[in-house]
Amino acid sequence: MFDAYETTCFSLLSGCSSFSKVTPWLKSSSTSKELVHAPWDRFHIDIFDLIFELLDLEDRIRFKLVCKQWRDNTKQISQPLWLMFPHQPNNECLSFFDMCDGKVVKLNLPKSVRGGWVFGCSKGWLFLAMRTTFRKLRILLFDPISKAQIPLPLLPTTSSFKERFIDRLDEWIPSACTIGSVESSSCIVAVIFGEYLAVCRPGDQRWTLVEGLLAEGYSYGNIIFFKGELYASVMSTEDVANNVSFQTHSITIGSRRVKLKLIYSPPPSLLLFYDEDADGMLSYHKDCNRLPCLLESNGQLLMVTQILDAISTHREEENLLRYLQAADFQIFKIQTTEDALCLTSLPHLDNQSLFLGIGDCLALNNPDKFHKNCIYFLQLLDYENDLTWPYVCREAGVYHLDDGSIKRCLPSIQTENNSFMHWFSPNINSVYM
Amino acid sequence: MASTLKKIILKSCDGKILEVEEAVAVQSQMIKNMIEDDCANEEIPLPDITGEILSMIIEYCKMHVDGENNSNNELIARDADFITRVDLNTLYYLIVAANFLNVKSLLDLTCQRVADIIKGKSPEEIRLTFNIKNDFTPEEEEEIRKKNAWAFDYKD
Repeated sequence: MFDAYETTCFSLLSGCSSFSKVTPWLKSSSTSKELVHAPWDRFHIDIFDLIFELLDLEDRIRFKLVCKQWRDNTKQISQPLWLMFPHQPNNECLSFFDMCDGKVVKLNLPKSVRGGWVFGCSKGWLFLAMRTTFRKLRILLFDPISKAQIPLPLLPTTSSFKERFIDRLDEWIPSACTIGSVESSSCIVAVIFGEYLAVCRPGDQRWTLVEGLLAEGYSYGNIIFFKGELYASVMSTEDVANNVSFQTHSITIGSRRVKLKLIYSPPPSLLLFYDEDADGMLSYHKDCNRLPCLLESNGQLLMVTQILDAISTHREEENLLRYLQAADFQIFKIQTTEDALCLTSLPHLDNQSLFLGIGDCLALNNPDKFHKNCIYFLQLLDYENDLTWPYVCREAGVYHLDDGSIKRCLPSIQTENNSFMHWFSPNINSVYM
Repeated sequence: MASTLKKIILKSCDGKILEVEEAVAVQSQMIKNMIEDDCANEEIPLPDITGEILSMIIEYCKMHVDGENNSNNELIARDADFITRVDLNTLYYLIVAANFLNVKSLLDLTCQRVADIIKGKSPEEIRLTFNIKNDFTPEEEEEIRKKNAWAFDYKD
């Protein structure tokens, strides 16, 4: 019946001349009335498309799991990229902006994961932190599509960790987080907690803390698993003589060893004074800060360094505020051996668009949806009160490699404590059974 | 005016003959094309469309022609009333027929209804609702599960 329907449909629409020829066909195929159940698994492909288009991501994933016909007759789900809106602990759902469809996506949060905040994400998992008591944190991975939850070990309770990290939680800015695997099957989670790098496997009793790798004046940028090794970008926070560019370490987690490679970002040349206004209240400095970011693109490891200028406000002798403003970007291709690092400048991204800043840092090849040869950046740092120079950076926009221009077309907003926008790439292989 | 009163004769697959005003019939892009090509002077046989389904489609098209001057909200309310009266089996044949006859607004309405029914349901709930057999082998199901849990050898 289905075949007959397809044939006649085609013939009829292709013109009337063939109409009389197909008529006998039609009369013989009048069996639909006798069916007890409509054959919902045997639609015309156009109809599958129409219905599929009306569904959001979660329902599309489930649609494809109903039966083979439904799976095979619908188009492939392309990897979406979402901008996660700032999340407040009292929110009952997570809100995202779909960068491809231009739609807002809202996903309900189960009761058990409400009340926390998102401090990072990787490979479709959100890193959620929840306070159980005043100084205790419960950390878990949460997949907002499948609603799967994976608890991670409690944070260490050593006094130095407490003093240096937990006691400063109110100033906690988003953390660099990554999920990856070494030796094919085993999954490892790595997180930067302040000056500590911590790794664990889900199900572990405790985190393995890696400390003391960085000299004074350096801090971690982001981290990424690449070809079974863990890479961390390192930036200098003060004027330090930089003679290190690369280090290799080995971390032991249970019976596994993970190779850790530290890639140092070249420091800013100097606080290069550029200009000031007539009364000296505002001054401008070029190339004041550099934020490095590692990401994978076409099977290669890239380091993208965001170069920031500073606009400083003074009152008499007092320094009021330093605003960091994105000015330029540099892209390097990274190759490493056991003890050597090779950086090659990459002047053009072809059809790719890079997404970097808070959350997932990734390269996407979708010139129909995104500006190609561009960097979409998201950088939100809030006041750091213990610094002599309180600074803020609330930069979001698109950098065009072609002409070096920056368009600030993404929302750049002041956010509440612990709530930031993230790039998030949901897991489309999630299963919600 | 005379031309708008012209009747189009439709014949369902179970032999039911329906006379429809041209203004109503041309809601179907397919019939409209046939009229333009001067192929609609004799009765038009419709394969796979039963008299019951055909009557519903004509009711729907009539509603839209009569309601042309009504506000958009009123039409939406009428559409909603129409579609909620349709059971699942009928919905299926309405979709097939709306697609065949190319009645775009009805096709949109019926597909939206299916999407609304699917929304928020698990694959198993969808199968039960639409009476679809799960034809994935246990191995394939396991493969899907594995793909999701790719790296997590962790179990509760």
